[in-house]
Amino acid sequence: MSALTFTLKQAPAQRVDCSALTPTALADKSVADIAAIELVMGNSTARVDSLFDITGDDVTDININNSTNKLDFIGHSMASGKITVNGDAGAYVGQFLEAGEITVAGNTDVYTACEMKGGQIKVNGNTGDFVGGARPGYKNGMTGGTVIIAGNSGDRTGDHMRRGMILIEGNAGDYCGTRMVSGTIAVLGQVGAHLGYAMKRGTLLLQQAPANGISANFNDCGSHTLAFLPLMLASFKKLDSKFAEIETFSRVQRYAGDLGGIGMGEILVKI
Amino acid sequence: MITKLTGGRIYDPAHGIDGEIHDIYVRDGRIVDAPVDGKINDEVDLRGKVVMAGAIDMHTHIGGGKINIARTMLPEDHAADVVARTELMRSGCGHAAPSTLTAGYRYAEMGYTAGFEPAILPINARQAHMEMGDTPIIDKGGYAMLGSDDYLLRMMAANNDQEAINNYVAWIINHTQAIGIKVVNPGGINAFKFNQRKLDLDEKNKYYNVSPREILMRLARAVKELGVPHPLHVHGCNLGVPGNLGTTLDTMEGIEGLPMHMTHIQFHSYGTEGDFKFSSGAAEIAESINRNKNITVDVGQILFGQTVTASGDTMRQFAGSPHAHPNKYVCMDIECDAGCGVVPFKYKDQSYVNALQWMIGLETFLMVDDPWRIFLTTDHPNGAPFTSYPHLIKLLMDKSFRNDTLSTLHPEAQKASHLATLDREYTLYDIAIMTRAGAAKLVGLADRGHLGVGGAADITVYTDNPDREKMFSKPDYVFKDGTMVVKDGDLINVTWGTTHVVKPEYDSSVEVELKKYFDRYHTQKMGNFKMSDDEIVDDGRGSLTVQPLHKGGKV
Repeated sequence: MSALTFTLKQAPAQRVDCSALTPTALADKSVADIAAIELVMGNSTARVDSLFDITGDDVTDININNSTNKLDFIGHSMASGKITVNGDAGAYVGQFLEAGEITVAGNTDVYTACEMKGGQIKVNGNTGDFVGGARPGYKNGMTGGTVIIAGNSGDRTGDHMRRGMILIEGNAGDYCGTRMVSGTIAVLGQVGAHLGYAMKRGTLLLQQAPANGISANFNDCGSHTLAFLPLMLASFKKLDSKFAEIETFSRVQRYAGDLGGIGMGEILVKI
Repeated sequence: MITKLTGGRIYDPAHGIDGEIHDIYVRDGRIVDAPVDGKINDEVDLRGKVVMAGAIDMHTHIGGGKINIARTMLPEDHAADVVARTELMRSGCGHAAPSTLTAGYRYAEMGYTAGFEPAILPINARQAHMEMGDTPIIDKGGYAMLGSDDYLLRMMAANNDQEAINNYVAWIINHTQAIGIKVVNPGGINAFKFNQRKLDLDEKNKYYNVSPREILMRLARAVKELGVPHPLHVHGCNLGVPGNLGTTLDTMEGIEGLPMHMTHIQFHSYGTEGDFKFSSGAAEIAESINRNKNITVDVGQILFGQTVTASGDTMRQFAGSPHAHPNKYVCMDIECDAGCGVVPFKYKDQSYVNALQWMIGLETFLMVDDPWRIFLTTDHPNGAPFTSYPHLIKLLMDKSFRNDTLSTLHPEAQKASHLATLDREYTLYDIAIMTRAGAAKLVGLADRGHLGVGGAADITVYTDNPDREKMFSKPDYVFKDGTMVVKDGDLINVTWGTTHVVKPEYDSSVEVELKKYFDRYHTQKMGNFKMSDDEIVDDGRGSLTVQPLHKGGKV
């Protein structure tokens, strides 16, 4: 058995819904069955084998080669297995992901890890806006699992996030951690404006003090030695990420907010 | 072009026909006499089938601002129920708050040919009619909402005479293209803005010093004196409050014999007995309805599952907002004219309160003797979406099914209700009264809800099936104005129904004061507020049907 590999023949002009191409959705399907699946493309449909060259047969290990940012819903509702995307991915990578692993070599579009429940997503490039967020109008974003972003994340990272972890090795955009219900976002680089806007609970962990400062709706609670930090940082050691290499620390400046709401969220800045 | 519908078993309560077999002839959308020369162009064999007029939903929230708020607020309702486009039908979505087109298709597929939006806020009338104009197949119409509008309350505070109020009411009906008047929590929506959080029947609005009882009397008199066939449509005080039973009885008895329609009565029939301080008041309510012949009711049955409650009653919706499921809601003022509250809700069969609400609704259905004065509604979408009507009909027609369902509900609630001892089963004739003849009579539709010569050919044909839910969810044929729109439960034609209105007369001098009022206080000019006939008719598919008035005159 070798990894099931979809190689995009040419970049599609319309967006393609790839939610059917996950280990969970393809379980027990033969290669011929898979080739015949109709994917929604723009306002019509197209057979899988008209879009992709297919090789291999191990549906638990899927590669998507030559991928472009037109391929949406990669790893949608996946409950096990592995997907490796060589190239960029479109919107909604890992939406409703329950378990398993998705790795994207390039960049992803908006709503990466939207309402994800578990498992791991690693993006080696940058992500679009609303990483780990909730769909418009919904109350809860991601509720579990880990997202690792080697590049930068877009705006509104962790919007309505409920649980789980978003680790950003580069910079985070504006409104990082908005409307967060709980969970953890850690950033090694810089963060944009309006950090933690309308945050309810949860933790934003920063390696460097934000260049824009902390907004007035967060209250400075002084410096603290927090025993959980070394434990959490130790848990990163097993990850394929710069977070595995950071020197452990426990001393942080703590800011609580958003005071416009219940104010139980925290921004922790390493000192 | 004459179509003959041959040999169906006819249930036409408007003409006292209870299951007789005879033929129906249809020409140009109307039911006609048998042609003298015996020539027909087309024949549909209905032998062995049950034939009724098209059903009429006299209280269903299918248009206007509230439902749009529900649609906007509940993407989950839409994501979970997506309907793809077909050659014939356009795409849509939504379970509790379906899109306009989907609502029309679904109604038609169930054999419904008319639906009436019960809460058209006058200032929102254009929006409501545009939405209903986008609802295919069924006829529609609406009741204009008064009673918490500042203009009426100012008139009452100034003690204007009944004549002036009649003129205002008639003016509103004409220029909102309505067929009746609805009052929601009389004066209460207004009182909410002055920080009152409850308003009993005889409690005064703090600012205007006017009580709900006075508002009801004034409006019920206006409707009667103007000769509007649909009685004042009342959503009473204290909706959903345990112990509101007393207020409801007082409202019905206190109207002094004027015609009045009490809507979603189930939500107004609660006592405070028992360990849970929540009990059924259905017996007292039903007894009062049976005694007061001026009163009609619709039930507003709840059925279990996820839905959304949408009401103009800001006061009560605000009180209910902590129970929102999912946890979000909207309560808002609308142009200082009234308000609205939209609270998503999940009725659970293992909740004592919800289970008892279900029983109270059914008790009311079974204990009100006269099917001409009680109507089958779930107050769509407040108690359940309208798509659950076939299920509700089965509950009414099948005692053992009802009792089987009952036995699975919250055990304490079962003990608190005597529903299990009620043996009544609705007949097909009763159902035809409630959903056809009675509803048409109540709304004031002269040419609908019956199968007599001259009536509109809105006809629904069912296969008699002991499983009434199956029977009523998939009619064999539905004819709308003579066109076959449904065949074997599937839509085959999309037509556009008419909008039913009444046009009571008023003295045009009423506009002198109104114009000043609009100029001084409103966000739009009076000329823009008035909705012209053309706005409904001009798109080429909408039409207006002016229904005849009753004889009015001073009460």
